[in-house]
Amino acid sequence: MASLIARAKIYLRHSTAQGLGLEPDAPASTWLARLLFQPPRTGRRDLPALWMASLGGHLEHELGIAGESGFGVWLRRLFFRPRHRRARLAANLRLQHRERKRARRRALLGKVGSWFKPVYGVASHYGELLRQRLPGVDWDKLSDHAHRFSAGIDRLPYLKKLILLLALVIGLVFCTTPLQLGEQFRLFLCVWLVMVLARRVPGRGPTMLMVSLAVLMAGRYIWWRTTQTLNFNSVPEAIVGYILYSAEIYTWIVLFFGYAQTIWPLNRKPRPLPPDPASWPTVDVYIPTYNEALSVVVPTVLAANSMDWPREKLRVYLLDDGSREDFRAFAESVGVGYLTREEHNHAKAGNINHALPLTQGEYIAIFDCDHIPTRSFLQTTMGEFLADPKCALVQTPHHFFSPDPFERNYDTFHRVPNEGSLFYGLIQDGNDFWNAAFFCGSCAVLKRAPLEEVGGIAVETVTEDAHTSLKLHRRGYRTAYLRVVQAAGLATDSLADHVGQRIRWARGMTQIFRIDNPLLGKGLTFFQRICYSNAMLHFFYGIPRLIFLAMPCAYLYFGLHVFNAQAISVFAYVVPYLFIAGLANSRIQGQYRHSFWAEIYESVLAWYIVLPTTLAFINPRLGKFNVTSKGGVIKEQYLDWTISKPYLFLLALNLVAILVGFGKLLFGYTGEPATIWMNMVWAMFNLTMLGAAVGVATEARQIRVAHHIPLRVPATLVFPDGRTLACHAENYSTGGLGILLPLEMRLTKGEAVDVALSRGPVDYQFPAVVVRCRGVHLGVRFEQMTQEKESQLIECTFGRADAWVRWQEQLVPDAPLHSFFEVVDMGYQGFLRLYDACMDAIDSLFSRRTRESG
Amino acid sequence: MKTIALVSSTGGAGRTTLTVALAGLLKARGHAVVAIECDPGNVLATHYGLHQPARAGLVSHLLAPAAPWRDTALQGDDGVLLLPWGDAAANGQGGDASPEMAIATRLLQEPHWLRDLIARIDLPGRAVALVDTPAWPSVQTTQALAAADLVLAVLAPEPLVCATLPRLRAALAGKPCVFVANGVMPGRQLHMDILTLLRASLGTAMSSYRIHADTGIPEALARDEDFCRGAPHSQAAHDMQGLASWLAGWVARQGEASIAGGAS
Repeated sequence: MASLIARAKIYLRHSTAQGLGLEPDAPASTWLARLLFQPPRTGRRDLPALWMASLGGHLEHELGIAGESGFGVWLRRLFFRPRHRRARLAANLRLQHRERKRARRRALLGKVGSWFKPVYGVASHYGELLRQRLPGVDWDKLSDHAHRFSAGIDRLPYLKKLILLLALVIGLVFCTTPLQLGEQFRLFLCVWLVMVLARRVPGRGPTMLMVSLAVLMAGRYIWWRTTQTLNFNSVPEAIVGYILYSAEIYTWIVLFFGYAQTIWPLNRKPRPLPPDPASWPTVDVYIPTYNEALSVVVPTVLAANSMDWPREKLRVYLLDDGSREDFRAFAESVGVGYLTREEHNHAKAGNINHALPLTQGEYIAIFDCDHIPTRSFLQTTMGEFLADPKCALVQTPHHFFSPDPFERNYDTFHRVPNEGSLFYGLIQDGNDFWNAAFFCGSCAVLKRAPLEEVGGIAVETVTEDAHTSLKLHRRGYRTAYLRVVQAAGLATDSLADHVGQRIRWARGMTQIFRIDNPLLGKGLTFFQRICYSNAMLHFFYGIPRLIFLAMPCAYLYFGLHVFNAQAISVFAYVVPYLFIAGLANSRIQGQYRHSFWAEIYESVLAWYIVLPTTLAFINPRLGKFNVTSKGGVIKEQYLDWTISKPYLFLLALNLVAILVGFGKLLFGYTGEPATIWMNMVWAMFNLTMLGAAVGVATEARQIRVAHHIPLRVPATLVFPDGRTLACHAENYSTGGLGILLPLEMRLTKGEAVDVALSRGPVDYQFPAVVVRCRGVHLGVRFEQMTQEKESQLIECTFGRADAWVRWQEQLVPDAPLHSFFEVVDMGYQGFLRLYDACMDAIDSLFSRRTRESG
Repeated sequence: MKTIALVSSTGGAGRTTLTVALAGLLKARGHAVVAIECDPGNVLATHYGLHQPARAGLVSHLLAPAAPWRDTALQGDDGVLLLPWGDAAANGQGGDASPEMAIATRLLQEPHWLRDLIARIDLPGRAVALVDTPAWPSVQTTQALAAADLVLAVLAPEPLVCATLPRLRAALAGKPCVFVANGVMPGRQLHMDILTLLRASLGTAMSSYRIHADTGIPEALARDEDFCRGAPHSQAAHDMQGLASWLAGWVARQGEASIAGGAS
């Protein structure tokens, strides 16, 4: 039947074509022309057909139809416009930041600056003249004198106690003296002036001054808050009010503990080893692994095995909890020990404890399987043990050469200090002053005897590292922290992984707080107790942060006066307290954490650590150890909806609260417009933080599996014809090297070129091929890498003692105002990203429907 | 004026190449430089583009001490003064005895002939005389060693070098001396092993600069070009720059020391 119709169709077509004087397979436009116009005389051009064809082309272009489309497509396009890519509102921060430096200089200095240039020039000229006239102050010398003076005073008996007592009395008087509002404002102005001046003076004295002023202002605020603002009119008000009050109490405790913890960072320097290597102790290196890929573990093992230490006194062990055959084979081939066990209880701690009796070294260096040590690691750290026999642990920072989710998703890598840099840059150094630096699980050396004395690595909690060092401290051992980057590794890949890791830390710290509370028990000094409890209390920020995020709603929705004070007196007490504390914090931590960034980091994590910490607080035995995965690929930019759900909820809550506030203002339901405004500003601040949190959840594209690690070392290219070229390696990735050429070269892809790298006076040459060459940037991939070559490559790159020396130069100093605008911008970008993601979601919803129906 | 002699115990170690390169680089660093060809092979002059040996030169003075020799110096295009060895046959004094005999006798009789000669060259500032020599041992090299304030021993990473090194070191005993590896190929395991061996036996006398092998060097010679100027980004040129900087620093330090010595 069908074939009959088809045959009839062909016959009809042929006969009609013959009638019109056409080829049967002529295009549709010719058919149309022939239907309406006579065929042209021979020798003449077929004008109607040409015109029809050009009209058809034009229509195709206008309607966005590909040639050779069916009739149905034409018909649909006449009524529906084609789908096109929606423009994204959120900016590409990566591009923006690259342009920004130039743009800012152009926009601000170029335009406004040019008008004021004469004024500025004259002012700076006279300022310079004045500065030359004024006597220069040698602050270092002055602080030296102060130190010597205070050391002298220290020798007088009872004087220190007397001074401290006096200070306490004065502080109490200062905090509790009632002042009129105007006077309180004036006090704020005075303190602020002193702070602003002290900020400009280097040294520790001014820092102490700023901290004590911040403490005094906080004290005044606390006194006022406790005595003046806690009278409530109704039971619900009282309940919500006391919830807010207790959240604030938490922040005060953490604030004061934090000041105590970081008041005097120790800045310990590496101690020299005795000149005779024969007297150096034996060291076992443990590299525990569980489920990581072999490619992640290989560089670490090779680098650990080539550390500078007498061969017969260094033994590397791969502790494989996955009992994998290829790991065993690899360990054998490079000549490192391989240890595995039957049962896998207590995760990493159990793994290490299992290895302890099987090895003999006097010291144990522990590296996570993705932390690659430099060759100088042991020579840097071991001197401390030999100088101080009571020292049981030397910890070095964890340095990450890839950006963490915050840095990647907001492109702040090397621009804003990351979450960890506060801890390793300042807090551990502060802890070290009180002999409370604790073990962080990797990049550290432990002494075997004390470790065995406390029963090996602690297994009671999921943060075995901190708990182990707490046990060591209780036994009277000392620990040391060396702020010298001697190992580097990969950061967590996605926000989900990052959150997972923080959850583990939070839970573990809570567990320690419950089962081995540092405030109780024996063997610790007062300040060790404070340092440890602050490290643990810090992880309880979840609930207070959520309370602050939700609190403006209490007034805006329900009209609850949770903070019983006039708006003007809030300005007189809250603002000075926050402002002065912010300045002091910027002074102490500015280099390691920019102002307002703590708010972002905490807001993102708050929701997720509430439940684990609360559960662990109620029952420390709940929960399991989870391992973070590293080295993944993110193909398309996407918003992690599941992880951002709580923020979206809080966001909606605050957004509606602001709308309600506006409504109340517009329709005059209220007699207290100032209070409404204040709560709305608070909600706006919350919105900014939440917007930023949602923005972080938008995972940026991460294409390469092998990370390109910035690494600047000299290199030599050796071409097949024997010519050489001196250049620099720009970045490293497993299997390849990015090279910065001194001049533009045309190298074709696949061309063979050897790369020579040096380790001290020794050169190693690696055969490679060109992968890409654009201008002065050359990418090469190594070929025929044997185990030995691989090892040499690690030695010449990650293993170089100076590989990470320059990391601190990359730190950008804090500028609170600039930082504030940056955070606001992040919040705004977060909202734009949310909008984009919503539209994408709607799009994908509809396109799926049509595909299913069609 | 400081005299630096470039010597080696094997042929083809790169003495002359290094002499020319270092002379140019030191000149570029503002030193007045005279390159002295204390080598009857006339190789240094060839590097400067003389395809026939210069008629007059050191040898003219050697064979006829009274003859004026100040006009024998030539100037390279990089501003370096070249004092060629000259053509012994052309300077034959008509005597029937072979000139080689006379030269050797004279050099053996007057071990400080070259030193006295160099002392008579008066160049301004921190001037440097670089003396190119034939392979050690030879009478010319002995003269150069006696004249040198610093000996730059050029080592090719070859097994022969290791074999002859102890005797060379014995001959250099008491002289300020720096050993430089030349023509190093990091891709060759043998080169790397020999370097390790040399570093172990020489210690700090071994310069941390090692001149990498580069095929651009003979090519530049074939084209009568200055290698360091023609291929400034090559690793070998970088290494030579490094060595030249070190030498310039050494000359400056010597100058300061002599000033301090003179003042005291």
